[in-house]
Amino acid sequence: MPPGIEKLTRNKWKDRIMEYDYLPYLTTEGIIFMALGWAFVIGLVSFTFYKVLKAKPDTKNEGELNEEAIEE
Amino acid sequence: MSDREQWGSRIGLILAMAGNAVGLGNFLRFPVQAAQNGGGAFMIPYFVAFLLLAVPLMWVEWAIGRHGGKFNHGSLPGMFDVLWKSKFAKYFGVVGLFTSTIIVIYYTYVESWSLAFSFFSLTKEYFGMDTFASMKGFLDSYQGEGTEYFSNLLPAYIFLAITLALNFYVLSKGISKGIEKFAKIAMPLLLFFAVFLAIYVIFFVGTPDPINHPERSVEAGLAFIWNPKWGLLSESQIWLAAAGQVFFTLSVGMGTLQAYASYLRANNDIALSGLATASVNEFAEVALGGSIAIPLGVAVFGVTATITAATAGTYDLGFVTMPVIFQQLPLGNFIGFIWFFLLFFAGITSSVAMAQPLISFLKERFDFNHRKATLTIGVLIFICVQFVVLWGEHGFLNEMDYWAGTFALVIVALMEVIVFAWIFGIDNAWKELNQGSDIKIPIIFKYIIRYVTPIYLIVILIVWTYQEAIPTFFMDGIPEHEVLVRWGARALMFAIFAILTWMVYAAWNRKTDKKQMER
Repeated sequence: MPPGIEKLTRNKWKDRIMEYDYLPYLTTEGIIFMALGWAFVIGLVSFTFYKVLKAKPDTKNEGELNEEAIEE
Repeated sequence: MSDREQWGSRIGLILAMAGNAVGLGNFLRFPVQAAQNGGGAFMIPYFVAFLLLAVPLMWVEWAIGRHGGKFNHGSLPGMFDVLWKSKFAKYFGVVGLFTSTIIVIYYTYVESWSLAFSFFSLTKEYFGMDTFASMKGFLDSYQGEGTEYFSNLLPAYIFLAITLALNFYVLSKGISKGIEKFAKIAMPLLLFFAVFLAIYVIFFVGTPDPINHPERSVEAGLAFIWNPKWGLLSESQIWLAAAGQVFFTLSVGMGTLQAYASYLRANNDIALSGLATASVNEFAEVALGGSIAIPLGVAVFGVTATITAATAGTYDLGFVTMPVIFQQLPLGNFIGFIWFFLLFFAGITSSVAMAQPLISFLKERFDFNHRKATLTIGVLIFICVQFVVLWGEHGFLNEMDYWAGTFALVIVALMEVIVFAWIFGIDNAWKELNQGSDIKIPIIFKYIIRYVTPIYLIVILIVWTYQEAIPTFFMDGIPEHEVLVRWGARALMFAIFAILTWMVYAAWNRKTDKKQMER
């Protein structure tokens, strides 16, 4: 992701973020969010690559559609 | 079906697409945004935006690309032309060509810094500059500001030349033998480096100075990012920031995903491949990006100094703060090399994608052979990057990054979702999306693509226009000495936009193309 990296990280947030007291340890909520965030992305990458590796490559006929999805 | 090039394998395609998406922002921008906007609580609007904005846009771009490829179009002007039967459609697509062309000009230069700093890490060139000020001086001197460390721009030009040569070597080999082959090597290496660094930070850095600064630890860094600040969740700004992050992270709005997807066969899946690409990017961003720079910064310098460093901008965090940190670590030169080489790989897999739309355009609309098209783009970039090398530090780079690399992307994304879902028609669009799909896209996405995604983009565009674009246009807060340089950047961008518009006009008025269009 190249673009936008300079300008949008410069938003005037320093004062607001400085207002918080930062604990030097992960709280239970922090651990839960971290675990859920990691679980989501690891789960998603595992699921998609499992499906990709399971799918037979290039076996579909030209123009074949996922009819079930379209009919809905 | 034309005799266009094709991707050699599906994994190669996914890795090339993911390489396009994974970049500096995954490792630098995401953790800063998360910490700034509510910590763990940021993940709620982040994943909402991922599902409502990023994934639909990703599918839309893949579908537009594959559809355009059927008509021998690898860039947005032609793709819009076949979706929207209007003589103006192709001119709207010029913005897509413009964004990728401008970004690749300055991005190759930034990329060359990563290569240079990976070399400087190995040779310990910057070791000894253990304050932010001295390290900033080193970076400035490398970029031609001051002669304290580098007497001229020769080192910068050497690394730029290597970077450009590598980019255009990959591009000259074409889609399957160049970009795909390179992605199959670079992406696993990139992920390996990132995983290595994340493991190193989480398990081996700990609390570097437990006697004097017991509060400075990697856990404190992770807490800084992940401990939720619930009070911020009710602020609209947080939801907007999350939308901005997921929007930028997937590299939508640049015409690059469409260009790559145009080399798919008509019956190749895009639903699962698109989702797999997004998932690789999210893994690199959330699991790896959140575990390296900020936790390391907090462990070595504490929260306050890390916030100050991050506020100075992404480039400063990557090229000033991180080198200072590496000097405090055992085997710091090796860790620094891994970090900058990781950024270099993240950069080059993106920049080759950004050059592709223009290469496709020249080949398909002006009958250039591949070698001639690649060489033409190489010369164009080499000429234009001179302005960035000479005046980048005086606002030239930031001006290009804002208008082409930030603002124009939202405009392109909004145009394409309207053209695809409203003008091409949602039923046609849904059919196109599902053609050959290996997963069943939930029907709700049909309505999300038609209603939610455009509204999301319109809100972002309105707020950013008010908050950022108008002050940026009038150069509020810009130092006097940068004003002329920034106008120079605008003049260059305007000239490139005008040339691209003329080229589209000329391409559609060529006899051979007229026949094809009338087909």
